[in-house]
Amino acid sequence: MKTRAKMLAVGIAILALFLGAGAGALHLYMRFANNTQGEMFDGAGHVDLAYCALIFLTTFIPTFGIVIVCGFVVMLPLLFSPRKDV
Amino acid sequence: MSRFVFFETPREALRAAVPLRADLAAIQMEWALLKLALKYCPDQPRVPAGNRDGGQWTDTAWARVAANNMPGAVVTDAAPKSRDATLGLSAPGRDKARRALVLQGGGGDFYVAPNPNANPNAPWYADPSKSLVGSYNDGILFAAEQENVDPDLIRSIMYVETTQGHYFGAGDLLDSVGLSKTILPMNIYASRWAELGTREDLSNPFTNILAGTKILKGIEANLSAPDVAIVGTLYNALDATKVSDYGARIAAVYKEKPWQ
Repeated sequence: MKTRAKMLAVGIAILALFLGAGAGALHLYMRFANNTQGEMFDGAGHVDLAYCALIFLTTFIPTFGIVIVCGFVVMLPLLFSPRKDV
Repeated sequence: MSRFVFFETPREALRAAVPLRADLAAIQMEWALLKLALKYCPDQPRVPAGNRDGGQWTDTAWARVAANNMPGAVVTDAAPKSRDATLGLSAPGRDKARRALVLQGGGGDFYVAPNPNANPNAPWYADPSKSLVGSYNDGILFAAEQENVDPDLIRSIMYVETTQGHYFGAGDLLDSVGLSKTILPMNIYASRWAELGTREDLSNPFTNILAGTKILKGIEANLSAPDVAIVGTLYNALDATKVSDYGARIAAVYKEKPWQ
């Protein structure tokens, strides 16, 4: 793989991680802000960490996947471009 | 009929006394819990700053002494009288006790303090286009008539839940795979309100609205003076002791009726 493409792939992966984490954190923030009928806490009044992880991943995974797929589509022309690495 | 019972042997008398001792222990425990509940009130005044005991909990008796003996001392108003025995419990305990009273349909007197600082404005992520009030109007009217609850109160709850609880589609995703704890349109916490229906039952919008309406009716039945902000606050968090932003938002939506 060309060096330029490698750097782009790493950049896209970092971007996907940031956007995914941001989306997950935003989802968690909204859930805690609403906290409907105490859904974010367990019966003893402690934060339900398993549910928090689920909430986070529900938005992290799709966002991460979308950014990776879009990034790959953007990378395709670069992978097959005739320009050589410097 | 004689008031006295005679026993043949002392052992027989002791055996007969066992259930009485158990009853006495239960009464003593109940009395201790009641005394604990009566001791606590969230609005109990504190000694004003600048005094020797500044910040300490106080009562009206202290306030009278302060007024008499300390010139210039500020005497705070006495706490409002409340018969809410759940105030003495921890938040999870209060939630559990109040839930039982809501399901029972009365028997309690929930106290929720007013809160002028509660924010009635919609959060930035609220999306009015996500409202489901129009779609479920028939179900709302049926449930309101069935349970004798104000239909606009049901609409207000549903409006806030659907416009603020969309999570940009993530809420629907979790609902569809059966992993979310709460289910729209009334956003019922399925396992917490299992008495009102199974998760499958509550996934049906019609049953969901009816269950939400039953909760609202149960809350109203436990309030001496039902107020929209207080009912909304308790719908969102049964352990609440003062009006929340959510309750203030419900009151604002109830007044504005944005679904019209």
